[in-house]
Amino acid sequence: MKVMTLNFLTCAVKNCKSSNDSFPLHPKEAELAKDDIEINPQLLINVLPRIDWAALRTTSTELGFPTLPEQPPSPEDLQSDEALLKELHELLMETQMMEGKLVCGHCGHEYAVKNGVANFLLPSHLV
Amino acid sequence: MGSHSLPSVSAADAVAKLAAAAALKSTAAPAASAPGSSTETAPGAAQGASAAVGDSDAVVTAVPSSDATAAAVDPEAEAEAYERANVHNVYEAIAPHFSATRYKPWPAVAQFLHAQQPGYVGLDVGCGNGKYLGVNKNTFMVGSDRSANLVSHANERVKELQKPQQPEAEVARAQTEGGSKKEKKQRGEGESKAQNAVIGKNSVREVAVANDVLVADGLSLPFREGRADFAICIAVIHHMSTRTRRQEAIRQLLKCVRTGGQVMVYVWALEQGESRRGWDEGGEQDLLVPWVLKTQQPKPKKEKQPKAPKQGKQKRQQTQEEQANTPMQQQQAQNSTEPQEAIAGKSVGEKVEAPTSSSTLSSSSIPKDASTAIGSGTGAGVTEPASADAAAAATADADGSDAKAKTDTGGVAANAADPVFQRYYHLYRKGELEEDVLAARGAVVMSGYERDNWWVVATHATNDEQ
Repeated sequence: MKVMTLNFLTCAVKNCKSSNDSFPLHPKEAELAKDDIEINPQLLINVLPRIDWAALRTTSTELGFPTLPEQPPSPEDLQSDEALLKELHELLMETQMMEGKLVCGHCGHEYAVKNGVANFLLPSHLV
Repeated sequence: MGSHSLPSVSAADAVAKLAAAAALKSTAAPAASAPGSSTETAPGAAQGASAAVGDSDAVVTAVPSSDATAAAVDPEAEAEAYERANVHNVYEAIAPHFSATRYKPWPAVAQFLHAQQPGYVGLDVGCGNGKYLGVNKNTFMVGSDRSANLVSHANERVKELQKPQQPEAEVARAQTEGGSKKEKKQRGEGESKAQNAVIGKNSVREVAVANDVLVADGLSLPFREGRADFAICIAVIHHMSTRTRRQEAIRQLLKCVRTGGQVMVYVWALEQGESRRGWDEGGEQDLLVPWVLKTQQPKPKKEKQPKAPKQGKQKRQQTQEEQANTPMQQQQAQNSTEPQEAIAGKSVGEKVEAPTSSSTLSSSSIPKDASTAIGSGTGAGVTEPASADAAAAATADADGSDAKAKTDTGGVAANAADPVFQRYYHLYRKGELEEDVLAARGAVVMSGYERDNWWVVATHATNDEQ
């Protein structure tokens, strides 16, 4: 489970979808790993505007990383600053949540992450 | 902006461990029992000779239209339970075999994916073994599937794709899907030019290296609404047993994408006049379609198999033939066999006739009694496997090599034990998919027919406020 992916996930429970508390999901007891992935500048620069930066800041902090700047870097920043591009790549693409739980801030439901894969199947009473 | 201090994580070489763990999981996990809906991959998707075996001896059972039977006490729960038995559990059980037969994208889907812009974020709902992850290297895709076993195959694929590319990309790719040897074999020796054109050797290097996968139900997706740029749902919705659920699935897909975002849906067609399945306009639309879970891998190693049973050789020839064929022919071959007639009015719980004796392609290697006693009232819509051991073995042989060992010694006796799984399908008639898109408050951007399948590209209706 990449940090990038977490930026697009919310609770699978229908009633939670409209609540702002359900996004982003909160990592709990997270075990992280780092994959070695080839950087794709074109993808990253174009993905940036699709990132919910506020949510990414929350996730990043909750995972124990230094606080991100309030504002996202601009595409120009990324284009001209290779180190910055690499840092973003490391955070979004290479950082993996291998084990732990993702918790909905609205209903409190916990989704398990095992072997790097999150499972969003709901118990029948939540469907 | 050097002041940005993005975090860096201390590297942990968990990848190999992960792959190992995933492989373990994929072979050991029992059939899922959670409720829900979608899971899938290409339907008749003819992607390899294993498939020809998998679907061979197809005796198709017509089931009463679920729409008609939905008058039960709790139709929704009933539909879920039905899909659990006749779709979800089946895919959990056949995942390794199924995965090994699925690696080639449908052309219309590949085209749709390649049309997406750099930086687009896409969803693949019902991603199966993840064969569409990585098609367009400048997009980021998240695949989801109802089957944890299939997702674990997909995850292995994701991990493989993101490894630094080896000079021989084919090798890397072949190792991806748990079927290393046979996969490599298939791709290396029998791969058609048409296939190369789609995901050819060169483009293998061009794949997206960053993707992700997760386990989720198509009717309870965990995606933040309106955020994805596009979504695909390939060979999934036809596994949902009521029209309401099929339409709701499309609705959920539309909700995931932003305004103007496109959703591609691909389903099996009723009109398959060109295929040997014998289904066509006016026929039964709700069917149980068998998947014969072969303990014998259909790709005997060419080099050393001195004791290969005779049918093994025939098999190999067929295999090469099939791969040299056009994709359409491959697909026909896959779901294979005679135009077995759909047995109209056959109810779900009833038994189905054993295959008759004239299956063309694979009959030589599949004893006729392989699928007697198809009783789907219990379990995972599985035909009585002749032996539970065989079923377990078949399920566990994702890695191919083991399977071969069994094969060589098992011979015909092992074949007799091949369990047959029944998967529920709703075959779409012409125009039905478009109707469902409209019912889901979507608009049809374009639609078409490709090799026994209907597809549609949908977007939000202009008056639909998300």
